[in-house]
Amino acid sequence: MVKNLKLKAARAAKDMTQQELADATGVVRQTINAIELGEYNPSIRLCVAICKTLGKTLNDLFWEEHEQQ
Amino acid sequence: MNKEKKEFDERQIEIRKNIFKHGFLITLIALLLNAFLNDQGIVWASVFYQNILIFVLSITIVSIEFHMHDVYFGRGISRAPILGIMGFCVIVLAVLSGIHFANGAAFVANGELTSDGAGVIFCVLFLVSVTCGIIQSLRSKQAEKIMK
Repeated sequence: MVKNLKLKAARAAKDMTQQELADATGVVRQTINAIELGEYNPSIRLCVAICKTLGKTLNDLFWEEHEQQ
Repeated sequence: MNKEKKEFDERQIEIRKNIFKHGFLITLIALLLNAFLNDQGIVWASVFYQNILIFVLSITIVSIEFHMHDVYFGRGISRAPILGIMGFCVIVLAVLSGIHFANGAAFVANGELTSDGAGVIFCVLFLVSVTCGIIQSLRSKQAEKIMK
């Protein structure tokens, strides 16, 4: 599983804790933690909610360049 | 709005589905095993307690899995009061069992588990479930502190 460091960085840039992001997106903190650790693949609905909260696009947070090659 | 706030999220629902499947399978296997034992003439408790214990054992295993995967509680649900009530039930069961055994009750009679014996097993199963809940709750709080 690949860690989602982009999400962690974006969250940190907004100075948000996992709990705050979880509350804003309607999930529990453990789910945000699992996404950041690459242990859980979120639905597109949750990805959009996270992007909206952090002011990023889906490409910014969930697109992995190495998968294109 | 308040109802929506206390639902499980998508990851929790997915994990809970799998755990419920485990629980169903465990119950099925335990019931088949019990039927086999009864068929062989091995009666370890009255039919009532056999079925109740199998049911409670399955629930305990499912709740332990819920706790270990942190999917026992949904969003906006406070852990402490629920774990407190469960802990209180364990204490009540332990005290009642203690009183019964102090008055000479037996754990096993005529090769079968007695109602007092079943009470002790209920108490142990509840205790295991509550302990897992408390451990997971503490781990979760510690993780939150580290994240902050």
